[in-house]
Amino acid sequence: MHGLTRPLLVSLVVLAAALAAVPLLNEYVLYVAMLAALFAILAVSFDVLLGFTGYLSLAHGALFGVGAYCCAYLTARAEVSFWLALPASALLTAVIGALVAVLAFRTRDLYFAVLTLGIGLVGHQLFLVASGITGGIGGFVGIPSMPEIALFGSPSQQKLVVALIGVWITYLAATAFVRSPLGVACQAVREDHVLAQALGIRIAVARLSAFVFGAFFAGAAGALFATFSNFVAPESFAVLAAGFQVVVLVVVGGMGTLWGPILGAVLLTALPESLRVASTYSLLAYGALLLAFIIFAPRGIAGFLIDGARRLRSARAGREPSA
Amino acid sequence: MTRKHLLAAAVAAAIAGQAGAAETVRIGELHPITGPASYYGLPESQAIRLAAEQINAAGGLDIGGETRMIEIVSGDTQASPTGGVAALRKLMADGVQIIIGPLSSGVAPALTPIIASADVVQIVDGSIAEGLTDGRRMFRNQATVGDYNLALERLAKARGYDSVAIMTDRFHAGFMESQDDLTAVFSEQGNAVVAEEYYKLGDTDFSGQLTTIAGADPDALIVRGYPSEGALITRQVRDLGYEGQIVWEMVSPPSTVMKNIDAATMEGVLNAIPPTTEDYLNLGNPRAIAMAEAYEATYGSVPGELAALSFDALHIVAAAIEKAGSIEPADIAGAMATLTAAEVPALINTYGAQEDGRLFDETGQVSLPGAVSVWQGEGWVPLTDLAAD
Amino acid sequence: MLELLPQQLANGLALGSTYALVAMGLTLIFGVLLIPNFAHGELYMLGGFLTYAGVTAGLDFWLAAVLATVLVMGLGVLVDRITFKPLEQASGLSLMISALAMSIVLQQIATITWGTEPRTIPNPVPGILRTPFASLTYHKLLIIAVMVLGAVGLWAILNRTRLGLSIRAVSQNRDAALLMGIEMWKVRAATFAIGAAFGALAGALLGAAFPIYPTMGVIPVLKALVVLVLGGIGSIPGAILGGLLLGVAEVLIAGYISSELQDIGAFVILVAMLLVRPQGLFGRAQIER
Repeated sequence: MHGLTRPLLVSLVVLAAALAAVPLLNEYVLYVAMLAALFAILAVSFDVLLGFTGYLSLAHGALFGVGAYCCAYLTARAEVSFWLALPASALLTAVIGALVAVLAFRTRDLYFAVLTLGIGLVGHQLFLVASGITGGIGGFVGIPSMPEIALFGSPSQQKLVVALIGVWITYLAATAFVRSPLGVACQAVREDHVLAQALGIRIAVARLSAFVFGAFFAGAAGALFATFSNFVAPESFAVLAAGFQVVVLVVVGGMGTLWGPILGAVLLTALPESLRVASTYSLLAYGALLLAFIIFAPRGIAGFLIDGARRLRSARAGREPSA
Repeated sequence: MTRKHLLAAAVAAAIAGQAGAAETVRIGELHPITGPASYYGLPESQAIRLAAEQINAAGGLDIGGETRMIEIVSGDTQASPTGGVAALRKLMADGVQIIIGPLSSGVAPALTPIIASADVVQIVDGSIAEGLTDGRRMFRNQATVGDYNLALERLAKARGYDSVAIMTDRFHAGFMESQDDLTAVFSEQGNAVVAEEYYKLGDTDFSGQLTTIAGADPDALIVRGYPSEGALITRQVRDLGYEGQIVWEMVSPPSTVMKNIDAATMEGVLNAIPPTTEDYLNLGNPRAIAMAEAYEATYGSVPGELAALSFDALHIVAAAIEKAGSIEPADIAGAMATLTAAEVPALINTYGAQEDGRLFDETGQVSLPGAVSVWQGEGWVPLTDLAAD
Repeated sequence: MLELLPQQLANGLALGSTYALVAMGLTLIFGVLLIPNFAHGELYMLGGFLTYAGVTAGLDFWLAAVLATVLVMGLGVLVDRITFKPLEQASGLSLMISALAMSIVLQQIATITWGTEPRTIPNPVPGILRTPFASLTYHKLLIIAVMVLGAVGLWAILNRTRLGLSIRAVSQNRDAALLMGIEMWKVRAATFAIGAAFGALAGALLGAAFPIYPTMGVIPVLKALVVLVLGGIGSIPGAILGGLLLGVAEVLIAGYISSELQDIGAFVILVAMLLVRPQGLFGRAQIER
């Protein structure tokens, strides 16, 4: 596929820089960075649906949970190896995501948001009620850790490295997806649903694939989350927790770009941590920030950066002739 | 003191000397000090700070002959597992090796795997979920939900209830986990469980469940959860015409209860839990009164129901440090395991001694037996004779 | 169990009336202006808190409730100005996110002002009506009555006043209404004020029996969204019927199936409805735009 070389190279450089920083971090920063990386996986894959296809799903947090519980069950109860459980969880979440999508895409706009909200709430309730599998409100205790990778570092460093590579893979996959014919069709759906249909674009296939793509990586992120935490509880996957969080990350980072959500995930995970002391006000700041972004900067941080870069370039271009 | 201990103390003193005489003992506390759960978490955090200030004002800790002050480092769990883990990791990265907390049963199991594999000693002062302690590095001076249920089970047996209905907050991890055990004991004792209904924190309308319960008309209705909902349930089930005995199993400050129900409707409701700060105040416990007065003077509010547990937790840690003559987690844990209540004179709660007089059992758990109190007038009064009406 | 059915139906209707009361304001704003005002739950919460503040300051409950409602009507207009007005040209997606953000901001402002400890107002209508079939507290009867009166009042405003005519015109065809010289800002402000009034009134009335706290609006607005979808977004009769339906369904599930499944049941009904009749009971079929 043409045009993929540049994102591949750039992302490789960023990944290498991030990996090089790993040995410098203490346990706490490693944990926060690991969380940020998992949220980046969620956000990038979610943006394929929200930013590129134009559908607001609030069921993403529940799908994250499906991946987490699936991996927890496979590794703790069925004693499957983590490296097998990871793709299995992602696949199962993708299948469940496909079912949800078939249901949800009967509607659009607010109906779609409310329907996925309902599905997200049912999912959260099911994690609570199906206590035989999930451990119920008390949570799933005793999830085995990731097998140690003998080559390097402490367990916490290995977790972060795996999570960072996960972000990288997600980013590349999402880039490939949005540039594929399916991804182009998704963007046509976003721009004009009716026109896209009239032009003979198979919108059903396009948006379904965007949803399933998001679900697959949400499942993978969930599996990593479960293994890294050794414990998961339903409240992490509530609509108003992960389900809403991922929307904020994408909006603040920049809908419709794939690196924006990564920035959003990193900044919005780091910011509350650095504001820990003043956290009574941090949720207020969180809401105000989201409001300010959607009103004044609907393209997010990425929008700022793109505009800034363009201005810089045109300023330079303007100066060149006179030089 | 053995030679090894002397050596350890000397090394510790040398390290402390290197770092300057003002070196403090850093103790971390993990509670939800922001967000909705801060209503319970903040008083716990403040009680710990109060206890530390009092110890410091009295001259600090005597560690193997050397005097050191306590420094409390707060970590905000925000009552969420990831928030709790991040806060714990932050404390540990800051070099804190002694942890008090957490409050939430949803947070505690997320911390356990980290603490189990780190050089840290922990004392839980809030969560009542089963497990959580190992007697090696993890201790708890709060009751377990099993202790909570014990009083309930004894009450049901003594009163000879033929039929009971149970209403449980399904967002309460401890109560949900112990639901099956409780009903099993009831059935064994001949207290037939005729209805098991659920609700969740924040619910306001319980009419569907309560109509069923009132229809079954059991001898006793047991409500397990938090007092806001408990009061609403009590009021609504009475409105529906239920006249049997209502028994609560919840930490329920009369101030919260009275906001949601009138005193006449509450009259005669029983509550089966270990004594709370307020109970010790009512019983005239001098240490509880002193703590409450100091707390009000410092923070301008009354201490929460769980403040006495947090206050005790810090004193247990302080006593263990002095007994060990060391601030190494392994030494503190070792001292804690053999600590007796007599060695911690500041304790407010009345802990049941283990067989050999120690405070903690083999698994690091105190014995804090539940008691039954009855609502009279505008508050709880201890019930001395379970069988009597 | 069946002999309890009349009582359970009465329970369901009372619960459903609270849902309908909250949902009416939400659906009005959506129907007229195509704005999903998720911050409606926070207007409901503020209705409760301001009534509490009034009662604490020594006012009579009814006076406090009316004052709170008037204040929240103003706040509703303000919320529109800050949250939705700047996004007039934006997509529905932006409006939803903006509304969610406003919800968080209002919740946190309430937290900073009043703290997280739940407050209560003494019940102004104590007592129970007992009949051979069912018994209901006067408080519940009051809510049912206010819901019915509110619905009638809303109908009268929409169908018997000039303002109502303008609102209906905008709701049916915004561009045509503008061409006819209807002043959009007036319609917008009136719609938000009326919608907010329903939220505030519900908050004041329910605050008289249940705890008031900053996040108390979250669950009711989620339920109201379900009601909206059941009844058809933008339909007032749909909001009432949908509310009653949801209330009865929840109570019957808790009473006859399992109280553990109460929440799941409500949302399963929602999902089923969307599959069978995506536009809801009274909704207009979605116009492809």
